[in-house]
Amino acid sequence: MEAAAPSEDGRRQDRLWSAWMAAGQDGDHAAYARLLREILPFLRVLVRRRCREADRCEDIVQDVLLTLHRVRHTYDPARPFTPWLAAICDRRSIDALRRRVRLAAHETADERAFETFADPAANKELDAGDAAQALAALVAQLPPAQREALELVKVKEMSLLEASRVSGQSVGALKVSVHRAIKALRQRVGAPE
Amino acid sequence: MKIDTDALIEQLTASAAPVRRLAPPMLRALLWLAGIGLVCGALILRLSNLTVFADRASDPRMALELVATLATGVAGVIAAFHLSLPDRSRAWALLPLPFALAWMGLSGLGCYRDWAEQTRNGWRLGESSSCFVFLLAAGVPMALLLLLSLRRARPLQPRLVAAVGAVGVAALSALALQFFHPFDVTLMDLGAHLAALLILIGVFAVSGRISLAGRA
Repeated sequence: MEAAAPSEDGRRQDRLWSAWMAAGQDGDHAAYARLLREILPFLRVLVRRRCREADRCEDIVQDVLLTLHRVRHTYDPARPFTPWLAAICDRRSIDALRRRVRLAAHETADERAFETFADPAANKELDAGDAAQALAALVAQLPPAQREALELVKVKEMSLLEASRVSGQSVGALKVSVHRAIKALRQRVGAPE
Repeated sequence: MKIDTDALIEQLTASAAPVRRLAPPMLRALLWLAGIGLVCGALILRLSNLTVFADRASDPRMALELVATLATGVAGVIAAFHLSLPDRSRAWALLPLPFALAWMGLSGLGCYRDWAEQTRNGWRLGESSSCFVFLLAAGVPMALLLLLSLRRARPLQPRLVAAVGAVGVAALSALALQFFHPFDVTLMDLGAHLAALLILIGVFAVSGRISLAGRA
């Protein structure tokens, strides 16, 4: 696995990890927790050799931890720990890489798929936002008198008298402006009269 | 679903019950072989005609073929047990290869000799179908027993482990067959043997991939 011969530090570390693993196999939770935390930097370095994206690397590291836990009875404390761990890490990294290649061959990224749903009712909020923008653009194109009448009477829900006071238009003129504005909007969105 | 690595470590630690370590792979393989040897030996002693077998085994080519078949079986099983562990070299997969080549070569040589000397008999069909059934009947239970034993290691490369184990089991079935096979293999026999062995290896490799590949 590792081509270079381990240094004295490496050997000392391996003996420590091996002892913790053996204790973990015997049910020592503290030693096992310490081992899993201590090997994390080592695993992250190994995984990064095969994986560029940090997020995906961490997924693989977690997969390695899960696998280590599942096969922990296969570790023989008479043998070095690091090659055992590195072999699991290597295997899981390759599996992740293969899975990714397989997915890439069969799947296409579609960001919109995450925003819209098969059930039209589920898209109501998104559609409402789009519709409000479109409507605001249409209202902006109305003649100023019609636009003002529409905003006061329909959007701000003022009475005709209040709107008349605010705008200075007569009640009759307001009625006509609102009616014409709605008719114009209907025509522009293609709705039936 | 994303989970924080620290939280995962806490979960794993909390569920880390004491485990029974696996015995060394060589020991496990030899125990498995001893068990199979005992059962097969008892059945052979009871059911086969050992005089006919001894007569056939006196031919050096046949004796060598038997040794090569046994060696392929033993090597395949030993290799599968080693490969089932994470830190053993994948080169173990090559262990049965030289023996398997010798077995195939010697078996083919016997077949060729038979064909050259008794051309008409070389094409007989009579025994081939029963050999085919025998190989599957002996091989399938053996394969299942091997899968059960290998499963304990939860191999990370189940396909490779199963395929190498299947070569071992196929060779052991072929060896057992020799005790009930009162003649050298003919061309048709060889075809039937090969078909049965390939079926065995294929089924074992596929089922092994599924049954050995348990995920956390």
